[in-house]
Amino acid sequence: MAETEENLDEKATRFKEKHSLDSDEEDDDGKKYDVLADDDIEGQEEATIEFDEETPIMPFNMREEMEEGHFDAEGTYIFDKTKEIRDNWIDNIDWVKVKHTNPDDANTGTKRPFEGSDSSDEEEDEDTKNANMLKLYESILDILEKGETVAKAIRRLCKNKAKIPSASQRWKAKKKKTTNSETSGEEDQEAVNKAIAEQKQMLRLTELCDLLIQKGIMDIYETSYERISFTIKQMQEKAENSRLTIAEKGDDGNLLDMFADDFDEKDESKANQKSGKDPNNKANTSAVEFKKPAPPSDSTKSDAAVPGMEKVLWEYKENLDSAEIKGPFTTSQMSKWADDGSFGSGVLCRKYQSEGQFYNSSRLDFELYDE
Amino acid sequence: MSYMLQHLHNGWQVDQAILSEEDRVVVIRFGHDWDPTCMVMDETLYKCADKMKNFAVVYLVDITEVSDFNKMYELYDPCTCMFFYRNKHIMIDLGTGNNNKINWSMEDVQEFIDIVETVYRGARKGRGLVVSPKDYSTKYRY
Repeated sequence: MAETEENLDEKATRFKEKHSLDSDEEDDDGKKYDVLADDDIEGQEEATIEFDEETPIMPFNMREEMEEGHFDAEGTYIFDKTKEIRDNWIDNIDWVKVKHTNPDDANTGTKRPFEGSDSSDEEEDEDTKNANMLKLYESILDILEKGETVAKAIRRLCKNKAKIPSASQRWKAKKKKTTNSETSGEEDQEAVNKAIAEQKQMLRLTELCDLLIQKGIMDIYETSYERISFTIKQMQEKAENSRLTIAEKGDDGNLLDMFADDFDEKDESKANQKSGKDPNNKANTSAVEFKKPAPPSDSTKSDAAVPGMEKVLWEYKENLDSAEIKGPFTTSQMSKWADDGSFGSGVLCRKYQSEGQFYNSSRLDFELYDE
Repeated sequence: MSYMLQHLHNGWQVDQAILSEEDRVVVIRFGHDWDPTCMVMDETLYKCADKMKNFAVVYLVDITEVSDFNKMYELYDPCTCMFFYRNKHIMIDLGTGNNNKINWSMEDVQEFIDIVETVYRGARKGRGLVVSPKDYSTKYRY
């Protein structure tokens, strides 16, 4: 029961905001501390005379101090910050000049007006940066197999590591060879060569991942082949768009989505690890599963991702009475229309051939259905 | 239909149900099995449960038996439905002004599945608040 109590405390914060209309709880936006009442300061005396001949006499009370601040209940003196705080540095900024330096950079937030070109990273302009990333992603993609995450690929490439002989083993083998015939030796040699090639690839892969992590892509190891190819496609599209327009905004959402999906993949791989299957074997099966979402069944938990995997198609009609149903359309098409205002105040849509009821497009977030 | 769905009998079970579900939405109906509003809702939930078993799991909680959450979740209605994903309460903009829960009974099975699916998709993409496909503002009864 004690545990429950603990959980209760933790969950008491689950509601992030005041939501219910009938909530009669008060907001605690008042003063955070009690102010000490003037009467609580003991031993104060009234002012008597101002000067005893030349010597100024300070009255034994807090009146003068109270003009500039106050005490809290604990007895801490707090200045009333009523006066504006001036900062010479801020006063010296020539705002006209600031605004004229480079409005584009200020917008995208890549360079702030006062940050000069001191770090080489920032010196690189956005385009070359993207091009570099693209190259990195592409070379990773070359090494990966379909349906594989980077971590899985590394595991696959390391599988035969044991076959690579150490220096002493090689020396021994050489010695043996002089005495024995080399029939079995040739086969071994082939396997060893393959293992060495794989190790080279693995090193290259980790090197590339390291570079990406340095660029802030922290989850690269959990990223799958499909996700990377999708990112590449996205980057290429973006690069093309950026040639036409200056900045595209909807990008953040996609970035977020990317993380959200990786989450699931991570979990999936974790689950697979738990089941203790051979990593290589698993990589193959998951590649098959990815293309063909299995029909709902109780057999495995990873099937729970089914509604996220299938491609959703939509149909819509202009208004409630019209019999004409248009569609099917892809989610991205619907999303585009919803964004550019083609739907006006909203059309009625539903999933293609769902037989369900029609919902107003203004309440549907097509982004959620876009993988 | 309440007897066909799994009940949770104490606060610990409720916590575990929410905490342990890794990739499905946890739908919890707070109320009483004998309550007419809940009976309608339970009927809907029962019909939904199998159809959405791949992305959601349904539990029933008797708010008299388990009173731990009544204050925290403000369970003052005869029937309250709440959604959780990975130990996170997922809010839904239902158009009612209360984004925390469905506090009426729903009869349309597909409509409820659509809401849960939206919750699931939203939660998987890291959203804490999703918009229900239908606006229930006109339905809200005071």
